[in-house]
Amino acid sequence: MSRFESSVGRYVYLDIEGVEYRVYFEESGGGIPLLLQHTAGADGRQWRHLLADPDFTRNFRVVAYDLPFHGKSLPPTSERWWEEEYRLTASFLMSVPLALSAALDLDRPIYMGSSIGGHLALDLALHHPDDFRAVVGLEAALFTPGGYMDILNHPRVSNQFKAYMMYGLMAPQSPEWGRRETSWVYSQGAPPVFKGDLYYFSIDHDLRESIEQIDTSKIDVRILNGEYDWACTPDHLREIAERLPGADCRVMDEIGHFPMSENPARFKELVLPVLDEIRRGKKVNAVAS
Amino acid sequence: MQIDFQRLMRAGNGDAEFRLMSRFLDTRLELQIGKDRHQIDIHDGEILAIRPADDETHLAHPSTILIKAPEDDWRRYLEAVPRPFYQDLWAAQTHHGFEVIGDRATFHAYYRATARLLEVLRAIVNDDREEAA
Repeated sequence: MSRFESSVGRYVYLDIEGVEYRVYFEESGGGIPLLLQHTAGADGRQWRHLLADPDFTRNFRVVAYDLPFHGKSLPPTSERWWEEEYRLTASFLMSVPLALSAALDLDRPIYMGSSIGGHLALDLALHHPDDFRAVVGLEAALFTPGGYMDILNHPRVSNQFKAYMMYGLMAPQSPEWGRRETSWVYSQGAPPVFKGDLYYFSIDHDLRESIEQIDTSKIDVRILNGEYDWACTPDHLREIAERLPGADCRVMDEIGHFPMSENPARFKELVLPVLDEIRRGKKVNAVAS
Repeated sequence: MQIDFQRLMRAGNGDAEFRLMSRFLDTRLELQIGKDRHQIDIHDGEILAIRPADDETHLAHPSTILIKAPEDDWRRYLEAVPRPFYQDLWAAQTHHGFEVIGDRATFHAYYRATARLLEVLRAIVNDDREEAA
């Protein structure tokens, strides 16, 4: 008897900033739509554990997508993209879940993402609060300068550096297979993409002057940062909690920068109650530990 | 801080992942723990010798990589389960007292080889602590 997972993958054509992109996504389950954004330089495989877990798919239509230029979402055929440096901007990144939500006819999905995806949760809450019922930002911060580094796309340094730099972003308590799998995905990105994504992470994402403009009466904002994440730290989380008191902010003990893939079992314990609170419409009370 | 560097050489050369990650590597990797500095001579991915570093040769070779930190930082880095931001060299540079000086292109190209060798060192240090207890 063959053993299959419940998730299925397909492609959808999305118009983003005037260019048509063929975007790959995988989905599983039914209920409230849950859009999942991967980290910089990676792809939707990071979410495979949620897609395969009936405790998530019982109540949520889980949709994990690959950004253009990532995973199975190839660069557009209409553009001479090889003649310019790849660079991810806030406007482009915000457009992807919005366009995907419209294309799939989703009704105010929950958005969840990690790292650039965690930053994006706050940007979406600020600029598009009516399009989502909630955002869950993992490994989020107001501003994280310093990551847009030439060494991340250097002819003398292979993708192995990225893979193992990311290995060091994870918690020593996470299972070895989870840390290695997360690193493996990083070793497979196109060489310029990780650095290009960090243009958004370190330069274009900057909410230091605007975080208070997020209206948490309009959109449910949840932020969870890992204890061992040295890029988006518990201190970053506490800064969000102080300046956005309507947000629910929690530190994840013994977790690093990739909760969903480095330690799926631990992450499930931490995030499933959050998603269930959102599903039941429970009003948040901010608690930063 | 007492470290058995000859044991590190044997364990590093016997470590499957280090040997895979260090292939083709020619460098002098220097570890400075407080004021004490040792050099690890690596040729074609094999550790040939570990010995106290000679001040006159410090960073004289173009491929030398020096990793330095106060002794307390090294002690925390080498704990069996390191506390946050001591789990990795990049983290320890960003948030703690670690510095990497020298041939940075080689350091990045062989990041995992260096990190793995320090994991081997962590295992040795904690094995020694268990034996001493």
